[in-house]
Amino acid sequence: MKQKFALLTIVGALLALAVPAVSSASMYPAGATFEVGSAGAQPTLGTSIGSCQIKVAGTVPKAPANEATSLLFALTPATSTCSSGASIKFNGEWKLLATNFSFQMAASGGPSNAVEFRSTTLPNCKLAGNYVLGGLFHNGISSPKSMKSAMQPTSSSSLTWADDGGTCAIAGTKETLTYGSGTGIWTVNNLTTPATPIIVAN
Amino acid sequence: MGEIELTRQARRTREYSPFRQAGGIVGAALVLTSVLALAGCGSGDDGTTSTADLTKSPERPSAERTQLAAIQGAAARAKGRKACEGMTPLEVARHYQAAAREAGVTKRFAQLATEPSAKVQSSSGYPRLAAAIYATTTPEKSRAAAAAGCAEVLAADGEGGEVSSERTGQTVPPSQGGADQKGSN
Repeated sequence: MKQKFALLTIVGALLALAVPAVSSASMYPAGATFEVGSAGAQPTLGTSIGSCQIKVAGTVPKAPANEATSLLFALTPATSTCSSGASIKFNGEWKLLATNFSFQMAASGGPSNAVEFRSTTLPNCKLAGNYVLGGLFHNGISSPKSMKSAMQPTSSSSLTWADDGGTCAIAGTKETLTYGSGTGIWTVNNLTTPATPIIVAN
Repeated sequence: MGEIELTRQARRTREYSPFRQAGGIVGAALVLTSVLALAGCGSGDDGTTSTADLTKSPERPSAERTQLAAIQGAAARAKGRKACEGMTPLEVARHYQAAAREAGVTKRFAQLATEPSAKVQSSSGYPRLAAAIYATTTPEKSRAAAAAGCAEVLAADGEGGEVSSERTGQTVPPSQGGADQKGSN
């Protein structure tokens, strides 16, 4: 049973790697700056002992780079607000991989801890590591009415608890960040031309 | 009040004056004047108060808030100490597990504290983990202080040293302040 499960895991992992590589994607409008989330519905990353709302901004690559086999470009994350005593720090590079109807936000590179979460409730501990958040990308429309595009996160990778200036009892254990709140839908706001939705196409 | 008095005066003037019509006009004028005067005074007072408030607001409320936060923090810390007093970190974690789960703590995170591995349980950071489980059951704003208070008393117990009793002001060995006091929570 264990062997079957391991085999399935490996096959799944290979598929996950292969699918983005063969998919083509393009994002419009080229050169538009966008921000994920809006007031009251911002992306939220959370743990059992606190959560933070974040702001993620980016710019669609200019033509022809916005039409690529694998559309990958930089994002700029920032902390908006956190629950009492919680804080989140971004050290690595954040990138958005847009493929057909899905997206992946990945924080990696740079220092080993691309994302660091801390809470004063549990001093001497930090939840850190590289991070991947994946989900569905829902295209918006501009006619007959304007409806913004949205990201719907459906999976999140785990970070690892580590010592932070002292001994952390659970150092080495992993925890998956929770994401989203309310509807779990994060609107994608076009800051350059607000009435035009940011869309991902084949 | 002044307006009412002036209105009464105006009525009296109207009732007893031989020139009722003229009196009525005078009364109405008096009422109108008093209303305008009161309104003027009122707005003047309001303006003064607002200016004063605006001048003071950057300082006083901030200092008061800091003081209030310090008081609330101390209270939460004391509450945390009391809540965890007499229990081992494992007992605290298990005691507050259900409430913590209701407060949104994930099953896995709770299990790290309630079913700790030997490595976790022997870690010097374990009291803080157990305290964090307890703290999730307290109001969000005072969680850090509550966790610190709880961890403080758990760490003191864990070190095998003497624990200061807040109620009596005496120091008692951990053996006397151990599992027997569990019922108090």
